[in-house]
Amino acid sequence: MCKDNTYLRNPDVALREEDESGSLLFNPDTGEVLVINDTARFIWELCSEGVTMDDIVHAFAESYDDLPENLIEDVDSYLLVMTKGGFIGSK
Amino acid sequence: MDRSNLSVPKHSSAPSSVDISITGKCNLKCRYCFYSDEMAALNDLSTDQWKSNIKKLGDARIMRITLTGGEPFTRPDIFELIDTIIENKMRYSVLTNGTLINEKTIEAFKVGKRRLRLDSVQISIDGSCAKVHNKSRPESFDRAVAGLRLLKKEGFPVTVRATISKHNIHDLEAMTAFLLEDIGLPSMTNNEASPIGTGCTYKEEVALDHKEILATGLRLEKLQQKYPGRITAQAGPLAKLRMYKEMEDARKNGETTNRWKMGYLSSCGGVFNKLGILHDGSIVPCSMLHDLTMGNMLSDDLLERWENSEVIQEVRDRCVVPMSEIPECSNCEWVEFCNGGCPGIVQQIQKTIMAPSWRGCYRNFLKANNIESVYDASSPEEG
Repeated sequence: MCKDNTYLRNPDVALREEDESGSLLFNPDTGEVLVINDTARFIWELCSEGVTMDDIVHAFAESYDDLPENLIEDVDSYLLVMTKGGFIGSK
Repeated sequence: MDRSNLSVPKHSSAPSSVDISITGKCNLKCRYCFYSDEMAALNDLSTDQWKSNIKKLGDARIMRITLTGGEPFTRPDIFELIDTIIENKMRYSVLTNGTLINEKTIEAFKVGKRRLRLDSVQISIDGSCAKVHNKSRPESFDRAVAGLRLLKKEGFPVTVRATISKHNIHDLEAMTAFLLEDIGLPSMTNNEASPIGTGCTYKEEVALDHKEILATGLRLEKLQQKYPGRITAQAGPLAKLRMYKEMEDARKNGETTNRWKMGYLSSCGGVFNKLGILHDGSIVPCSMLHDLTMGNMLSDDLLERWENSEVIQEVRDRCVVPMSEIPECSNCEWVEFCNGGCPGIVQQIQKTIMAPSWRGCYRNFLKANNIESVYDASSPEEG
């Protein structure tokens, strides 16, 4: 994903809390469902306002003590999946 | 039997889909309608009441709504309600008799995201011609087919469900050819008329007996071979034959199905992720269980009822009731494999859900057909 892009939630997407499987995002325009873990959920929450990749990594660093070594790659792949499914938009 | 090691599966945090009967009014009087008594007894909610209810469903993060009736298109505000579904981040389907669909309907579907959010329109067609179809669904064939052709021509996601009854069992091949070849539908589904609701009044006229179930199921299996992947059934003769074969396979080879928990009243999984709402706002576990009310959308919290209603929990609890504990079934050689059939049909006929449906009983089916296994049966043409 492009480092300078700004990511923002698709306002039509609904977040559904599930007890055991975490949460899921539902895109009613496509019918697509994405099961998300805590990391992806954190990214989704951040995307309520336009954020860049750097903003997201910075927010992780502020909120968690133990950051995985491959955090940037993880965030990048989550953003890619969420963008492809139309759950978030980028510009 | 010790049930201490049995547990009822966890239901989802909220229903993923809800069937809404938005009206009890219908422009037809079908001979097998299971909902007819309630139509007369309950009043429709107003537009504002439905809009408020649909918003509540969106807030509860329901993903899909199925609009049923009565006939949904008898409501002049149907597209206003569809727009409310869209505003509240959901998709929708419509179950209709098709007779009120015209050019204006098609144009209305094109506004905004109405078409984008539409999963499917399902039309009921019960015959290849007016003479057959109209026996079950009086004076409606031409209008229903016109609606169907219009939706198909405009590229809508349209499907057909054929309800098999005594009225149309002779017409299966012609009806299938009409729908899949002449109309050109990609697929169709079928079920059967049950002796409940109006179908109870006309039981002798519509409901199939075990012999007819077998003969019809075999012919539908042949049609499945002719049209691979294009004929499906969740209920009715085709579904019953598939279930009976799975029971035979389990008994002979130990090949247990994952579609139900063999030997338990476990046929219905719908109550773990679906709900129904009647046209007066009543919340029910399923439209087939429309006399088991869990609450009302006007006064109750949907998710609280989903979580705490004893009514729906009792239906969920069926799946840990062993068939062997049912006196009439305890000595049956199929008791370890059966699932007891649809609780909706049991409830409507026997006024309890803690019992099996005799209409789906494999032992009775074998006895009535004078065979030892469903695999012993062959279609009439094969002798």
